[in-house]
Amino acid sequence: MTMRDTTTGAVVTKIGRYTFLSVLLGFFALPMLWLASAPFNAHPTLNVSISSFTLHNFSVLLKDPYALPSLWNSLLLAGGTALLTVGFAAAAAYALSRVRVPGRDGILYALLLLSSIVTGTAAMVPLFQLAFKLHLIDSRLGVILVFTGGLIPAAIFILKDFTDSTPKSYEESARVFGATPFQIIRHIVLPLIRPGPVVNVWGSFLIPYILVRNPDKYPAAVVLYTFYTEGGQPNLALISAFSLLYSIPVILLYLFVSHRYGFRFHGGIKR
Amino acid sequence: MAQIRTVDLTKTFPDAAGGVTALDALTLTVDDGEFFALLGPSGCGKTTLLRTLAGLETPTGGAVHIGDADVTHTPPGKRGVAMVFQDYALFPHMTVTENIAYPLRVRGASKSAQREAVLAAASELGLTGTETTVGLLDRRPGALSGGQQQRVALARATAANPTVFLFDEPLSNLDARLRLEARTFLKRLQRELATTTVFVTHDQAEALALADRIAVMQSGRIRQLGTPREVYRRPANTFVASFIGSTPMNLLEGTVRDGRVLVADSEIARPDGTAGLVADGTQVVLGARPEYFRVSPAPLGGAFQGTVAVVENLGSSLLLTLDVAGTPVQAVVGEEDEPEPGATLWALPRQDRTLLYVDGELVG
Repeated sequence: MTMRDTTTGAVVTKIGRYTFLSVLLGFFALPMLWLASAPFNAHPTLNVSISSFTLHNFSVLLKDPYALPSLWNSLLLAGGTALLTVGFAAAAAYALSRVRVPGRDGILYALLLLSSIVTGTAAMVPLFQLAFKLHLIDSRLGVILVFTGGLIPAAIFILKDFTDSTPKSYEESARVFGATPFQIIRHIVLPLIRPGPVVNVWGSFLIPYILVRNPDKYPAAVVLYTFYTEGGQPNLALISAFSLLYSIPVILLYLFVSHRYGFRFHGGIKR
Repeated sequence: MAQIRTVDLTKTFPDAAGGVTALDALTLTVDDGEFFALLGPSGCGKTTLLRTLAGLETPTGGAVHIGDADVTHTPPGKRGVAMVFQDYALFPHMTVTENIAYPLRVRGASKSAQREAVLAAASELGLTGTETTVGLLDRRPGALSGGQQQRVALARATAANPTVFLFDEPLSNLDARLRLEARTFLKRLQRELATTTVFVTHDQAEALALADRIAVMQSGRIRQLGTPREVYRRPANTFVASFIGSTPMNLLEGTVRDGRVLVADSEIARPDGTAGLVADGTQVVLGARPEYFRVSPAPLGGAFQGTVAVVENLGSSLLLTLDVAGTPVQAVVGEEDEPEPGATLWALPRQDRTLLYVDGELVG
C-alpha cells in the first residue's frame, strides 16, 4: 500500500513539475517565437503566426538610411568598450592578484561598490561636463570611455578571481626555465585565464550594445524609436525585423563563447 | 655540472614585528654531482633556501655561487637550474610534449630540436615504449596519474639540460605506495644523470634514503650537516636526535655519577667514547634509539626496569613503551616476543649506540 502511495505521489509530483516547467517555458519562448515569426509576416500582429510570408520588411530596412549604419555603430561601440575594459581589467587584475598591496580587498570592494552606486543617471551631468571639456562630445570614443569606466571595476573583480585560482608555481616554473615576463603572460597566464576575459568581453559587449543611446551617432537602440508612426503607433513589422537583426551579434557571440568555454559564468563565485 | 656555494646567505621577510628570519647567515657547499637534502620541520627555511638558489627569492644578504659564477643577482632563467615544484606546475593547457619542450621553446630552439629533446627526456623518464604510456605524450597533464605527472615534471626539468636540479618536496604529492617506487626511481635517475641536485623534504626517511648528504635545518640555520649514516648514528644535538629516525629516539634527562648515567631511577652505562668528558653531577640527556635495546623478561645488569604500558605493532617488529619509574622509555623488539601489557621487562641499551648530550649538544 505504502509503496503504491509513494509511486502515485511521485507521478503527481512529476506531472505538476512538468506542467509548471511548460508554462514557464512558454512564457519565455513565446516572445522569442514572435521575434522569429513577425519579421516574415506582411501584416504582423501581436500573435505568433505567419499569415502571409514576406521578406519585404527586411528590404525596407535595407533602404532605410539609418538602420544598418546604426547596427554597425552599436557593434563598434560595444566592441571597443569590450576590448578596452578587458585589456585594462586583465592587467589590473593580474597585478592585484600577484602583488601584495596593502588593503587590496578594500580597494577592490570600494571600486565595485562605487561603480554600482554612482552610475548611470546620477553620473550623467559630471560625465557630460567632463566629455565636453575633453572634446569628446559627438565622438564614439567618448561613449566607449564612459562605458569602459563603468564596467572596469566589475571586470577587475571577476578577472582577479580567475587569476587567483591559477597557482603561482606555473609562472615561477616558467621563470626558472628562463621565460621573460612577456612570454609568461603570453604562454602561461593568458591561456590559463582565457575563459575569464572571453566571458568578460561578452558581458562588456552586451551592456553597451543594448544601452548605448548617443543621439548623434545613432546606435541601434536609438534607431528602434524611429519606427513609430507619428501618431505613436509602433510599426510592428519594421520593429520586429530590426530587432531580429539587432539580436544576431549577441546570439553569435553567445554561441561562440558557449561552444569554446561551455559558458562558465563562474568568475567571482567560488566553485 | 656544478658546485653550489652559499656564503652568509640571509633572508628576512618583512612582517609587522620587524621581520621573520628565514635564512640566518647560512654558509653551505653542495659538491658537484651530489644529491643533497634540505631537511627540517615546516618553517625552518628549507624551501626559502631552495627558492633563493633558484633565484625566485632575492637574499637580504650574502651570496650564492653556482659553478664559478656569483649568481646572487642573476635572474632565475640565467642560472642553469631546473626546478620541480611540489605541485609539479605542469601547464594544464599544454600537452605532455609541449610541457617537456617548454624550456627549449623559451630559448627559441627549432621545432626539430624540441622534438628530439622531448623524445630523449621522455624515454629517459620511462614515458614511452610501454603499454601504459601509449599516447601519453599527446595527453594533457589533467589526464595523467600522479606518478606520471611527476615523471613529466622531471622530464621537463631534464630537457632544460641544467647544471643543477632543485626539487621541492618531490614525493609528497604521491600516495604512500607510489612514493616508495618514485623514491627508488628518483635515486637511480640522479645517479645516472650525475647532476648536482638539491631537494627539500620534511620527511626524514626520504632524506635518509635519497641523499648523499643531509642538512638538517631549524629556524633558518643548519643544525647538522652530514651523510645519512652520520646524521642517523650521531645526531649532533637533541633537535636532530628527535627529528631523525622513524621511531623517535629516547631522550632521557639524568645526571652523571661515578662513570654511569643516572636516569629514571636506573644506572645506565656511560656511552662509549664519553669517558672523562663529563664531570660527575653534570645534568645530561641520554639518547638511546628504541632499535638498539636488548629486552628481556629476566633481570639484566645496568638496564631499565619497567612495566609494559603500550605495545604497537610495526609489522616486522613491535614498539614497546615501558613505564620506567614514571618515565616512558621506548624499545623495539622482534615480532615473536610480544609481551602482555603490564608485564615487567628489563631493557638494556647498547652502550656503543647510546649518546650523551650536555646543554643539547652531543658529547664526544
